[in-house]
Amino acid sequence: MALASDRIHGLLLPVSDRFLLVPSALVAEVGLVHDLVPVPLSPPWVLGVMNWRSRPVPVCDLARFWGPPITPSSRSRAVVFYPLSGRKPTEFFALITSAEPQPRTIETSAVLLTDEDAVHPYLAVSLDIDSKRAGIPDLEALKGLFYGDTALPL
Amino acid sequence: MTTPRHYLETKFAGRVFLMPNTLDLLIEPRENMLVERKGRAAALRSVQGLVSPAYALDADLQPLTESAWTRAVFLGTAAGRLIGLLVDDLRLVPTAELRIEPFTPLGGVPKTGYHLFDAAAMQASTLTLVFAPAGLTAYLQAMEGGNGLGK
Repeated sequence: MALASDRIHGLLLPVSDRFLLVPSALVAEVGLVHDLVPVPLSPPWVLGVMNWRSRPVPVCDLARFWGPPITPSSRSRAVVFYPLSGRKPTEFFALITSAEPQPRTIETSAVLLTDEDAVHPYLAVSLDIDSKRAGIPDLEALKGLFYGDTALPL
Repeated sequence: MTTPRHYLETKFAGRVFLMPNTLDLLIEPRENMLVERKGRAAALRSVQGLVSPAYALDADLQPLTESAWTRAVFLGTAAGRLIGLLVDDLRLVPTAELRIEPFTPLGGVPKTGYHLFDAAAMQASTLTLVFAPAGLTAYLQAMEGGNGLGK
């Protein structure tokens, strides 16, 4: 399987026992996790909603889809994403990480694609980067998880 | 949608939620209600033969068996079918004192067909969730029907 482009400018987000590789252009800001307000009746992967630049931004823990959930700590970060395509311009969302994300420029020739999680609904691609297990999120699947009525059970 | 002049700040189970104060709301004090004793904290408003239930909820919006509620907020006056939420305390907050921002809860729409929240009032570093009246009405009606709560 080949990636569409030769080079990806992205962020490696430490979540659980792996990393998520996301294009930098999708990320609005990386910051501290603070004052999470619980949202009743939310699924367990929604940790709460936080005040980010005077906007309510839901914070999610996707790590629990691949391993143990992230326990928020002083090392955790909230990676705030721009709204997904087709969604309202106010619908920012955030993913929690277990540590500071790492900016990376990935040469696709140096990436080893794996089929480990090829069937995982929330990863478009699984890969090894410098011997680290990583995955590129499937944004359409995430959109379904976030806003559709097809949420998959944990 | 018309912007309300006030929001109703409700307090129950240690949490605070807002809801737009529309003409569709009715407040009833505890002394005007009949307390129901069927294992959950609920009360009935009975006026001219029309009996309307109200329920107490915990911080996760699950039914409570005990509550120190003082008033009921009834929704659905326009439809003529009232359903109520029992609250410990409430007050009116002028809209001008609030910064209301739209909010879409994640995880899909609940079984009722409506989200429970559709906005948040932003403070300096935190926020208060704002009930969507249609979502709260549908949720409470699901309690009434015993159809199960949540998703």
